Amino acid sequence: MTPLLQANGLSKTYSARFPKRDSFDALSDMTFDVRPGEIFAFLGPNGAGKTTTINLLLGFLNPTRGECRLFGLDPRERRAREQVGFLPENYAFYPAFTAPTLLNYFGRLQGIPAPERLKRIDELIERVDLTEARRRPVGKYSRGMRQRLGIAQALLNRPKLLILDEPTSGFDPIGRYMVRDLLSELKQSGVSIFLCSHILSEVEAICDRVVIIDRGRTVREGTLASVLGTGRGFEIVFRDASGDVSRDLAARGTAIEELENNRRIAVNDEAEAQRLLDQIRAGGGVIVRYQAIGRSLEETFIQDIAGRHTRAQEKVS
Amino acid sequence: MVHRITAVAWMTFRRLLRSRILMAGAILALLVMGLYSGILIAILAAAEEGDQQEVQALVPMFFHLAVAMFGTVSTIMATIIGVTVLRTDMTSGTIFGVLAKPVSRGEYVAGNWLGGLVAVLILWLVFAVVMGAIASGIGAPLGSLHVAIIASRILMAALSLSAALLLSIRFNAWGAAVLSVLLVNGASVVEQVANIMGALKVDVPEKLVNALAFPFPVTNAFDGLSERLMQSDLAPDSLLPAVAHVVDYALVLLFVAYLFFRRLDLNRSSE
Ligand SMILES: Nc1ncnc2c1ncn2[C@@H]1O[C@H](COP(=O)(O)OP(=O)(O)O)[C@@H](O)[C@H]1O
Ligand SMILES: [Mg+2]
Repeated sequence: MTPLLQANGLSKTYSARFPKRDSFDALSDMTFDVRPGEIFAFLGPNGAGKTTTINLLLGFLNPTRGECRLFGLDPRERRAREQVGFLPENYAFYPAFTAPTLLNYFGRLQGIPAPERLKRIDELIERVDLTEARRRPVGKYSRGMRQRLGIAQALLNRPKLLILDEPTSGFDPIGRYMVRDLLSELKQSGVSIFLCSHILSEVEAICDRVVIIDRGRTVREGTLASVLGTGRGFEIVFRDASGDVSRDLAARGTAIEELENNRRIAVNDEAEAQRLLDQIRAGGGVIVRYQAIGRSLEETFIQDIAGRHTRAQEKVS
Repeated sequence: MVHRITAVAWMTFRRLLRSRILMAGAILALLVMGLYSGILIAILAAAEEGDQQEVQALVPMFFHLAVAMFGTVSTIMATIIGVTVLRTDMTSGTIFGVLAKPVSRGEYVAGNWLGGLVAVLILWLVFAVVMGAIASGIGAPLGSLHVAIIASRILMAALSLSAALLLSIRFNAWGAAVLSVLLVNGASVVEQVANIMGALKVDVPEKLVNALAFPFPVTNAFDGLSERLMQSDLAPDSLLPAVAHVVDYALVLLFVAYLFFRRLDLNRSSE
């Protein structure tokens, strides 16, 4: 399968013009691809270069080195953007117009025929819950409402590929839930999604592959499982009515966590976990749950990024 | 391609309608027309019964006066429109939503230009209709010469629009406006300065004047056209080359704007 989106050694240096000839490497040698049907999470702290990457992928910026392809074409070509839906970071709309007017404009730019366009606009306004506000100018919208309109315009042309820059920013928990729900639904219908974010708990629930970047460089990449895989462990939750087993284990130095009705032990080594299971059963305890646990994406992320930053500081000092 | 350009143009026009620019233009236009008709009515009222003929003879002069004033207004309008449409789109970030759609940069520039031109055309249309009504009212209806003069002014506005659009890509609104006025009227400015020097008995060699005016061919093209019309010269074979010249420059400037914009890095400059 040909990738929908490809970055090949993509680099961007911002250079200041006269009088200060500063230059800043915002992106160095970024390589990845997005395949049909997957949710691809592009993660990094603020200022890592996520928006810069997106602006290159859509042809707003010219790469300093390397290249990118959108549906196999140079993104600066008009036709490359035909099957793309894009939600910019902090979407700016012409403030004096209403949502239907703006959506109609975007639909015309995409060449959607009038009857279908109007039907689709009504459908989307309903879907993102802006029906009540459809006669109000967008300038009077709250941030969350603007973001929802941004999502609606990105879906107008039934895109094959969605590029979303911080889609949940400006949303309350319900709005975030709506986004997640929508993304799962889109994924089901075969849409690929390039999802840029620094809020990881949300991404973790839905993405297939992950790239973590920092200061314009790739720090980690792979499937969600492989990224989370390193540092995984095992968790045993058991019930121990008499408390004998727990006392016994605690005496031998095992850390036991008290839950509401149960107790929990977390260990890194599988053989160790098996041994503990035997001991608990032998002592009359009841195993409630036994499972492998990974680190959360957030833990991985913080470890990677914080690690890099301390190393960088050590080099300096 | 055409439907995308018209979509952008229509949106640009609607944006201008909502902004204060067109409003300011319309108010200025009304002032000009009010002044013009006020003078005409005053003269008519003062005239004796038998002098009607002479009053009617004055109409062309007032027409030229009104067109000149309104022409200045419309050129200023075109310049303001030119330096704002594309620039505000870039600084506010609305451009990212538009250019993420399958629209080429060329279509986008052309649409912005066309939308601005439509706004200028509508101002002139209102002007022409009101002037026509007044002139007919006093029994001296406008003829094809008047239409040609108005058309030449519209060309001039289109030219200013191109220049302003081009310069706004690189400079902020004020800088672009000043430079665009200079680009379009540079030769006149040089000529005026030479005249003043001449009046002050400072001899400026004609070669120098011509050399200084050389980088501003646009003014000459338009002056040529104006001169023909002032002499009531509506002969197509003398008028057409002059018209072609002005149109040429408007399109060349627009094309250069496209070349500049085609591969421009779009940054969010409001950050
Ligand atoms: N136009 C620009 N000129 C200079 N530096 C820029 C420009 N745009 C972004 N940067 C810098 O590039 C880095 C990456 O920015 P960005 O891609 O917006 O990060 P992210 O979206 O991951 O938060 C930041 O340090 C930012 O300050
Ligand atoms: Mg960003």
